[in-house]
Amino acid sequence: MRHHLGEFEQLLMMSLGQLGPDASGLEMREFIERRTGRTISPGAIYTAMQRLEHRGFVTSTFGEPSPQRGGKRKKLYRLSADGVIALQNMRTALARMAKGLNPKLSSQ
Amino acid sequence: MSGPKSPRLPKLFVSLMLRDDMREIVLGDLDEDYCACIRRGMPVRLAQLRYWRAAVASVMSSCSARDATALPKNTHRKASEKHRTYGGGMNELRYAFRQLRNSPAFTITALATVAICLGANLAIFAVIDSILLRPLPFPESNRLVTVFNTYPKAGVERDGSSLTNYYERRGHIPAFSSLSIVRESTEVIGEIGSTQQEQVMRISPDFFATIGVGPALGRSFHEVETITPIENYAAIVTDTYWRQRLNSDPHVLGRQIRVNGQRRTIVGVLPPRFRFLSSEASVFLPLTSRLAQRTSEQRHSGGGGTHMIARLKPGATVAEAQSQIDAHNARLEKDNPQANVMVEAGFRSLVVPLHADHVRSIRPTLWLMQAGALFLLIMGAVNLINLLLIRASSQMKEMAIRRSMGASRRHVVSHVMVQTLLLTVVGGLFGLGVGASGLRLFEVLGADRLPLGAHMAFDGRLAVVGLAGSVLLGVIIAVPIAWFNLRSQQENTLRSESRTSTGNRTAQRLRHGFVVAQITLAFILLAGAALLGLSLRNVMAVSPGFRAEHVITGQFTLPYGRFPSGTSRRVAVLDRLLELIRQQPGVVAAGTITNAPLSGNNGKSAITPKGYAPQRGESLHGHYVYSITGDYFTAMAIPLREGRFLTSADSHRPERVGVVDEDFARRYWPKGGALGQHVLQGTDSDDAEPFMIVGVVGAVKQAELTEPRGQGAVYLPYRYRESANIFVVTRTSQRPEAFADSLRELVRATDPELAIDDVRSMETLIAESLIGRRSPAVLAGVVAGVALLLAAIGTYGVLSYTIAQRRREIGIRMALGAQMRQIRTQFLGLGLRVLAAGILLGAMGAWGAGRAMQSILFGVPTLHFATLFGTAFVLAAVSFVACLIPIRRAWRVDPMIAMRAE
Repeated sequence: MRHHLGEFEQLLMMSLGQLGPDASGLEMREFIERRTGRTISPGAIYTAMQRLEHRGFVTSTFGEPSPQRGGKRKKLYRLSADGVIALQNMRTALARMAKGLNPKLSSQ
Repeated sequence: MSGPKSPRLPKLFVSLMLRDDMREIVLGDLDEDYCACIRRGMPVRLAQLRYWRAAVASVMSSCSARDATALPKNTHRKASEKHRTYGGGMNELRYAFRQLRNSPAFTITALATVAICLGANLAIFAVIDSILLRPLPFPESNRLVTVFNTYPKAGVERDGSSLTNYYERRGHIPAFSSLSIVRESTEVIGEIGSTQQEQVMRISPDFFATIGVGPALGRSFHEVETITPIENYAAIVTDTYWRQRLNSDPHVLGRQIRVNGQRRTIVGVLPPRFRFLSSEASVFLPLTSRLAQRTSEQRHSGGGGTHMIARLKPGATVAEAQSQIDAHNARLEKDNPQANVMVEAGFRSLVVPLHADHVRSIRPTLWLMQAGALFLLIMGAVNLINLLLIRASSQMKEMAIRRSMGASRRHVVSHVMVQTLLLTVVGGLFGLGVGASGLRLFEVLGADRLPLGAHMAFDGRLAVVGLAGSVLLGVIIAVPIAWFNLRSQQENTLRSESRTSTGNRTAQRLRHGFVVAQITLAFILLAGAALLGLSLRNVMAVSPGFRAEHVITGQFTLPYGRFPSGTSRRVAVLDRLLELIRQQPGVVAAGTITNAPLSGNNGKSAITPKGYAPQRGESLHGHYVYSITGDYFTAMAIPLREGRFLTSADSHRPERVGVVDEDFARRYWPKGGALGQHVLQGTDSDDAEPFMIVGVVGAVKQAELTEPRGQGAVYLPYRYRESANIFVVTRTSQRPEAFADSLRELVRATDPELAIDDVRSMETLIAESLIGRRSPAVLAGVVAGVALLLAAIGTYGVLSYTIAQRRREIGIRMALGAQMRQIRTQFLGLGLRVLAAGILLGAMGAWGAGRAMQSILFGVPTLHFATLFGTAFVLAAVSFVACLIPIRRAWRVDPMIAMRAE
């Protein structure tokens, strides 16, 4: 199974890793917005999460409906074992690529 | 959750466009976020905006490129499964939406095309609907007719009806259930010092009964109120006048208003929004006359300003009424000593339907514009079909996959239908906006001054027509696409697509044929617009016979009460006004006339040289007759040919003198010697006193700039023809508009009863008389521009596709050593062939259009070579550029990539 993650998927996986298991899409969204300044629509998040789920990196369950959501349920996500591996591999790869990058960037 | 509810429209959008599993979560998220924002204290508007943005962005990202190849869920469902058709339809819709979203250039072009073409048609249809189609707002208005006298051989085409006509015919024409007579004028209403000119309509008492709508309050006039001398001065006002000028006084009946210095009692108020044809009259008065004015001698003295309106009895036809009127006229004319003169003049009283007669002048122009807009719509449709066919060709592989998964013919058709309907309906919605602004544009161009044009509005009816039209358009466009898809179903294209280099032959010929059709239509529209523009330029180049720069004009009425005719008071007040005007700095000359040229109302009267007897078979001719004071000719810079001008002094002398124009002089004294001759008002046998001709002046265009030459005009001193309607004309050394306020004050200073109206420069007056020509020319230009754009897009699209299709072939040829020039020449040749065919057909069509438009063209022949060549050149240039862009792109084809590309 390929472990390559797209850039957006990376953000989602990392936020999931930070927030812990059973994080909702809304929480992930707010987390990413706070940390990166990017505004993302709910549709974009769930489309991407669907793909991640399809690839086996995350699992999901339904949460309880609440009046604030107009009686609709929310979806809760957590990283699967494969997902954790993928996340770690990605972090390692990025770290290797970034090694020694800073001084070269500042000299350009 | 307490507090404001989340916006419903984006919620609806989301729930329609997202699949079930996503729908619930996304909606829940949106709501939760909304509540949180409100709780945090965000203003409601801001929170709603945020909701909108998140909703739309969610839908867009769920349609992202990755999912474009995902087919809708129901394609592999068997045709026998009937249930879940709604869900199936929605899936198709989402899929179509996704597809369109993924090719934004195509979608935007298609939507813009539909919006512009449908919008243009809607706007013009709105005008046609309110002017031509919608019946007059009276009960059974198709039974209303108008009767007017015509003396064609005397050059008087329409002379209205006379009072005598009314009193003689009343009750004697069985085909009419009711008969009435009306006359419009401008009168002075109000107290001294604060008078205003208002449009007034004088009516016979049965007028309201004839049209079928009467006063909402009070009563109509009584018969006794129409016989002069009258004791009872009555008036009826419109609802607007009552609300605006009388403050909706609840005791309006019995209240008095002052009309022309005479106090009148209001006896009735008309219903709201009452309007007779295009009249802007706010006050209605009884049409009064002395019994002596209703005699047989006055039968042909209508003067053109009085109109007869009648209502046909149920079952009676216009033809019956016409024959009865003819018989009635024949009976009466037996006693008329002047009967021979009238017969020779070709006298007849014509009966015509009221609505049709009122709009006759504008009908051909309107239908022409509708034809132009329809052409544009056809072009747009052709463009769309072309572009969609191109897309269909490139999607053949995907369609093959669908078919292999069991999609039936019905699915193919429904897929195509959904896609085109989505385009046309959304485009149609934008088209409603385009149509509404198009209508606003028409109003700016003066369409509300067209007959019956005042009530044009973009209402619900039009919106329904627009949406129905867009659905119809979608269905029509879908047909060739569906046919193409079904046909390629029969071929095994799953395998063939990867090998063919030229694609489907028939489709190619169809596409090229469509481009030829577009170029043809664009040619016709461009040529038509050019012809209209040329006409306009020709009309504007016509010299009116006077110099319009630096001349300001205004109009006022002399109220009868204060200035009775036959005394010297009218002459005196005009002299005083001109005196005051001359004292102003910068005034070069000033004068008055009873009707200014090109002001829109110019009728002819009977006036003949003394002792003139027409030849056998020839009739007496009508001419323009005006009376003047002051230095009218100098103010208008009308040239003097012989003798002298008239001056104010001529209104104070006992001798009757007059001035004629050169056309009049040439008609009756072709070898010269008009000076010293005499003319008589009326026909020769009347006992009128003769006027001696003391001068001959240059001819002036009176009714319109396109008037044929030789009408003839006679100018008399004001004292001998004291009309109440006065135009004052002033030539200044400054800008005419700068003098406008001074003119108004001076009129008021001359006499507090007087109020001047319509103050404008002579140039403005002339420009306004041209509105009937300028607006169609402008609009035709806009339409032609859009047509050109559509033709360019069509050419570009087809050529672009053809080249893209043949990339492999291009790549191979280049690899084998072909020069880029050769390949470019080949494609250029294709483009030029298409262009040539289009131009040839277009030229023929333009010739036909020129013939159809003859009635509204001026000075432009049917086959105008300069126009044809010019149009061909413009089209060729634009098409050439449109061809060049895809060809240059082909240049950049890397042979290796092209050969591998699939």
